[in-house]
Amino acid sequence: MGTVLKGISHICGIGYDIASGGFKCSFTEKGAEVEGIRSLTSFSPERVAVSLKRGRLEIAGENLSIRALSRGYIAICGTVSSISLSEGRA
Amino acid sequence: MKLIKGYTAITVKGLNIEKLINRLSKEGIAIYRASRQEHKRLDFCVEYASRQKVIACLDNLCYNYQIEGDKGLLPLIRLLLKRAGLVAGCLIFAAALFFSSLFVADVRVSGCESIDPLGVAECARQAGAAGFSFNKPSAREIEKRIYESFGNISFVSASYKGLVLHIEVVEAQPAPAVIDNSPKDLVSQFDGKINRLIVYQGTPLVKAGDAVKKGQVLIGGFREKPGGERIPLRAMGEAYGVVELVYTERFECVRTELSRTGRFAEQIYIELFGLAFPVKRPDAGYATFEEETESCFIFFNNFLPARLVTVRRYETEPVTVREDFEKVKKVLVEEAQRKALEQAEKEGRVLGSSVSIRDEGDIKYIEVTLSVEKSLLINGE
Repeated sequence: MGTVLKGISHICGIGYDIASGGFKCSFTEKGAEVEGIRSLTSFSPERVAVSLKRGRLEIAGENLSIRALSRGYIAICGTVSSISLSEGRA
Repeated sequence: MKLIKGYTAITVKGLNIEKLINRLSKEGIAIYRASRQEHKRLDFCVEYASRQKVIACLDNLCYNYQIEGDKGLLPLIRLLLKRAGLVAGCLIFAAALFFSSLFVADVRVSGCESIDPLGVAECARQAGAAGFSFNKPSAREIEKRIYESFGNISFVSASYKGLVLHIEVVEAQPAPAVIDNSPKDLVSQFDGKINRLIVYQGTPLVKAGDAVKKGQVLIGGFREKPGGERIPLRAMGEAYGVVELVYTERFECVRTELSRTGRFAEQIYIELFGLAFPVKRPDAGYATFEEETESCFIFFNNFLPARLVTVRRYETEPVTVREDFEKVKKVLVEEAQRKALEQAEKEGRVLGSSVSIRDEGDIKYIEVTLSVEKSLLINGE
């Protein structure tokens, strides 16, 4: 099953970890991008929280705003000070 | 790409904003530039294509929202398509501007004193710039042609202002006259009697009171040395003689004048770029008539130089008028004297005048005789 999923995710250009229910997060001082989110749970200029398939991700900072949000993807801009990940189902 | 497809900025007010964002995301609507400056307020953008879907979603969830505006090329095109008349007007205006940039309505020439302005305009026409034509040669070319055609031009400037070609000409100053110092006599230019003689240079050959003939030398172009030797020089001086000038005014006691009958016919037409578009034509053909023309611009700002011209023809008929000469004699004599003085002052200094009336039945002649002191001198050979 893992091999098939790996093949499909490769054809679709999606990371295997995301396809298998994981997530991908990349960030700089000026923003962050998260792939593999389920929903937005909280949004304010100081804090953006998203729920993942397995857990919850919180991005804290200043003047945070959503640059783009579509299904499974969020791009945040603003000054990011911390990112915290909590395990478990949100 | 976003600018081509367009996007819509929306402001939403309400509680549980996160729910709305998740709902939009679930519906497959991507949101951009979302910011939440207040707890109950969310500002965001969506693609213009998703606009109706978002509005339906917001209505469904009973949020208060406001469309801040549609931006981008696609919304602009849709907006313009809704206002086809406005677009057509803009296109017609742009086309009119384009064609007017190729069109010359009139050629105006200024600064001409000795040069004929019509000649300058003709020169511009030969260069291709005639009034009411679609040919628009460069101003430099017109300037060059005018400059080459007229020798006495020191500066010429051609410029297009709107639909009119303005040509400004500065004529060259005439060369200063060469002072002629060659020996010459001063001779009398007509018969008369010398009244005054002033000699600056040369030898006087007549004195005041002498009667002189036309062509007679008055001041000789020489200076005589004590030994009798004559040194030739240019005679200079002034010589005045008294001449009598007669001015005659004719007065007809019985004359025929044309008088208006009261009937008139009116012709109205619109004049645009030298063309006349009739509005109303007169149907009366009078044998004799007087014509009066009035015109005014139709548009106040003169954007389109269309003028409404009214030509009124008044029918006239010959009427015999009889006037008593004695009643108007004083006025007529004064008028004749005034006219005679005006003309005589151009000739020289008026010394005296007399008036006589010659009666020839219905026609009277008022003759004003003036004694005028006039310069006699002209240069001899």
